[in-house]
Amino acid sequence: MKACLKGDKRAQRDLYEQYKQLLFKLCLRYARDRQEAEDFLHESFITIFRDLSQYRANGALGGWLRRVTINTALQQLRKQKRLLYPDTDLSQISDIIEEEVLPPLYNMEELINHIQQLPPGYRAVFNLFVVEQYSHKEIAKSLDISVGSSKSQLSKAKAMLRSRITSKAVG
Amino acid sequence: MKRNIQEQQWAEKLKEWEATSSSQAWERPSAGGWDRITENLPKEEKKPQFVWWTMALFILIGVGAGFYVYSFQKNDSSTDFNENNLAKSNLIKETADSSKEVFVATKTINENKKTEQANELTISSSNSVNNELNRQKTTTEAIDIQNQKIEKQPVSTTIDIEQKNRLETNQIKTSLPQASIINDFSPTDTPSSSKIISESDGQKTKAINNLSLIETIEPSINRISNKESKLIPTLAFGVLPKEVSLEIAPSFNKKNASIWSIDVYAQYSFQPSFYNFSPLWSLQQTRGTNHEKNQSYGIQLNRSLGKGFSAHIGVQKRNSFYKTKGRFVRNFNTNEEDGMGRSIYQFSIALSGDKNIEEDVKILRNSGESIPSGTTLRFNVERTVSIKTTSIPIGIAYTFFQSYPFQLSGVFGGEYSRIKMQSKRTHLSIQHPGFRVEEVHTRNRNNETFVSSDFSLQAGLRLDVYLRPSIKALVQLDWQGGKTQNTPGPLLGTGNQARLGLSYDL
Repeated sequence: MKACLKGDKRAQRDLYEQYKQLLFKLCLRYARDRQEAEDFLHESFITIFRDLSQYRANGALGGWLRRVTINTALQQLRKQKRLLYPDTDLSQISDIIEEEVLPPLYNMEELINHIQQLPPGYRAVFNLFVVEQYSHKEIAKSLDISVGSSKSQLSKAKAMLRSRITSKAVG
Repeated sequence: MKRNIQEQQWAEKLKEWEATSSSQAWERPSAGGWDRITENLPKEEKKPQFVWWTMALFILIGVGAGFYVYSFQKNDSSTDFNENNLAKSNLIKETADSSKEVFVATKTINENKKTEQANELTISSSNSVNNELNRQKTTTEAIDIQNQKIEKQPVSTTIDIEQKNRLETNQIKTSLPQASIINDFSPTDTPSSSKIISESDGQKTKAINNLSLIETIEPSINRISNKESKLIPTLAFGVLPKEVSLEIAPSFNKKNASIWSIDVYAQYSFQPSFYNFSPLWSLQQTRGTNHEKNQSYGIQLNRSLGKGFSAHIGVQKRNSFYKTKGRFVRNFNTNEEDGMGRSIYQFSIALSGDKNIEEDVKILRNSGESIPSGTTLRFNVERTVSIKTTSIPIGIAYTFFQSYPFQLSGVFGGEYSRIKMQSKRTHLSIQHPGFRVEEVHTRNRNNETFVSSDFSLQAGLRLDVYLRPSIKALVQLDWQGGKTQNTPGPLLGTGNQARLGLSYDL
């Protein structure tokens, strides 16, 4: 860590090698394709090496790296203006939320493909809520959207996923 | 919100997948990933090394300059001393010893001032010339009090060892009030100034040429410096015999030190300017301080407050310039094309914490090129950024070490800065065959100029090296930390700076 902070390339390379797979898989979930995931990973590591001094040793390094990567991915999506969706009235979707359930899991590569095919906003909310276990309030805050919009997008994401997976299974 | 079973399963499954080692190619980043990252990482930190080398260089120059001045003055003074003073009397024939004794006598008088105010200094023609001097092994010396003024001669030969025998039989007993000797003494007195000293035996009042014991030393200093009214201890060091210098110097220092001085300096910052702006924005820089060019210079007025303290205020300018590079990725969408193969894509560049530049880029697809929707388009954007900062530093300094020709001080203060940043696009291209950029429109051009202000605190170490009586070279290393207007977090905008300049005593 100290060597990384000093800009030691070998130490940085070691850190990269150790965490690249974990973080790349994370990026795959937030990106629309492999190329974009590479971009997210790239930007994430730049941020990591730049802000490594902010890491406090009392927490797990892996957890901190995950947070930085998620934030970087969201930041990139925000920059591309791809997280802008109109807010939806919560009252109109409350029923849908209860109805939408995820289909059972199957092949991981195809599952990731389905997640990647979600619109960026849906994808971000889905990942934050389902995998990262954020609350809708936290999602709303981090994406700068309303809680209602977060719930709406999650619901639609799940519906879309179920639809795609089902059609794939049927097909 | 409570998560249902499926969601929990998904979460577990996905996290498990992330944690396991990747066996398939699609799960692994491409091999060139690291090379791409290293291209954009700042170069390995070599600054600290540079700082130490710079410091070592400055210190070397300072020490060299000091020795040069010292040796120059020493050579000069020894010649002068010999020609003018020794020729006049043989006082320093016995020199090291005699000068030492003279100094000791002077010191004795000073000591007596405190303890024996009523005592009289007896000047005698006998072997035991003076009670005080006798104590200091001057039993063989005679003191001759000359009655006439010496107007032009810088050295009044009031102690004349050669006349010892002549005066042996004629005992002149003169009472010299101690206070008159000490209190009237001023390091700026010219040799011609006279003082009246009464003889204790009631004989006629005599105008005695100055204060013999002290003046034998002082005029030689004045001659060397060619500045009778302004003598600084630094030169005194070079002139006086070793035993004398350290004792005499402080009195000169107090009497003659300039109250005001002015610094002119150039400053180098070891931290790039963009750190003082949004971290988000810094992501888009060419990541590297190597790309930044900055010039910083200033002027500062110092006022001595006494007891080693001084206050300062100044004006400082800093101009920074560097290039930024950004890359944006968009998916090509045939539905967004007009009939001529034109489509518009929008970028948002975060210039500072809350100011964005929105740019609409119109691209044209080559006719005949069939490019499917979803194709990744990469846009490269380059911008130049100039940051002009005007600062007013204010603070205090404390000199905690002083030994000719060096002076070391601790500096503490604050700095108010007004920052003006301007960004300008210099390049925009699309990285895909079959497309070209036709037009770029910047929607909120006002945001290309950004003005902010900040206040920061500074603490540092300053080394002054006397080059001339009134001129010093200065080297100052500062740590600076503060809260800029447009950066989040508790303490941003920190940095280290080195200052190199000249200081002139007004």
